[in-house]
Amino acid sequence: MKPLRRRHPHPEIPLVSTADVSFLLLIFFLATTVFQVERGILLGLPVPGAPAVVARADRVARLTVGEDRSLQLDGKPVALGSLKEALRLRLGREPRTLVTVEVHPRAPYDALVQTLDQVKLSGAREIALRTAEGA
Amino acid sequence: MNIRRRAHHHNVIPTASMADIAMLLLIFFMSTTIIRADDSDHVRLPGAVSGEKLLDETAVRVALGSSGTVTLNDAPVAMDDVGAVLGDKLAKNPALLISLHADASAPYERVAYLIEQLKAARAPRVALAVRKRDAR
Repeated sequence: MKPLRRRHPHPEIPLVSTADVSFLLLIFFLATTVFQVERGILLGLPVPGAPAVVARADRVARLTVGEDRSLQLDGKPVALGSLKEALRLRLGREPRTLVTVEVHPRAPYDALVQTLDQVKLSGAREIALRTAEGA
Repeated sequence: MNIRRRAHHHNVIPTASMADIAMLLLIFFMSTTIIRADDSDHVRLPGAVSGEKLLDETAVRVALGSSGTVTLNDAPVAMDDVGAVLGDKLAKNPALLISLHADASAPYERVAYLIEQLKAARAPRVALAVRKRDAR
């Protein structure tokens, strides 16, 4: 009788497709990765105790934002869409106009940002943020 | 006269190391990707056209949710303590940029209170974080 020979196969993990799998994963990450860049409106805050800014009355454009998002420029109602042009006209006459923005305490934060956005787009460089009395 | 034989070079791009490069890139992307849900702190940023890119990696993120919750780099903090905590950070790095992520619907008085705290903490650089909005 012939004894049967036992086979000793070498156990191996098949690695042939590793490169393909890694390529697929790489394509997935390349396609889905978004390098997020934050955006913001930069403010320079005054140091506590610093003297208040004094400006001539005719150099100041007083902008108020109401609780209901309504806008007033020097006491006259103005629409958000036409604010940029109104300020541009003002800056054309007096380029160093100081724009003060006063927001009602209960107005939504979005109203402030929308207004600041339009002020910045108008080209105004001197902007002061005030809080309405009682805030 | 001997005629020289022209050598025929086979122009082949070596691709043997492609798998290694792919693996390295894969490891890079896997280790740097942060899967982050935007609504984790329930902050819906207001849109703006004039927002500038904030490229400061060390910026401290102060978030104000619609419900009034305040987080500092995703860690909850009481609104009254924001100034004190930031004061410590600013003492170590006076040029620190503070990025204020306030919800669009948050009442302005809360934002103003936070800004007052930032002012008291002597924060020199503050940014009102916005999401990019296209000009109409």
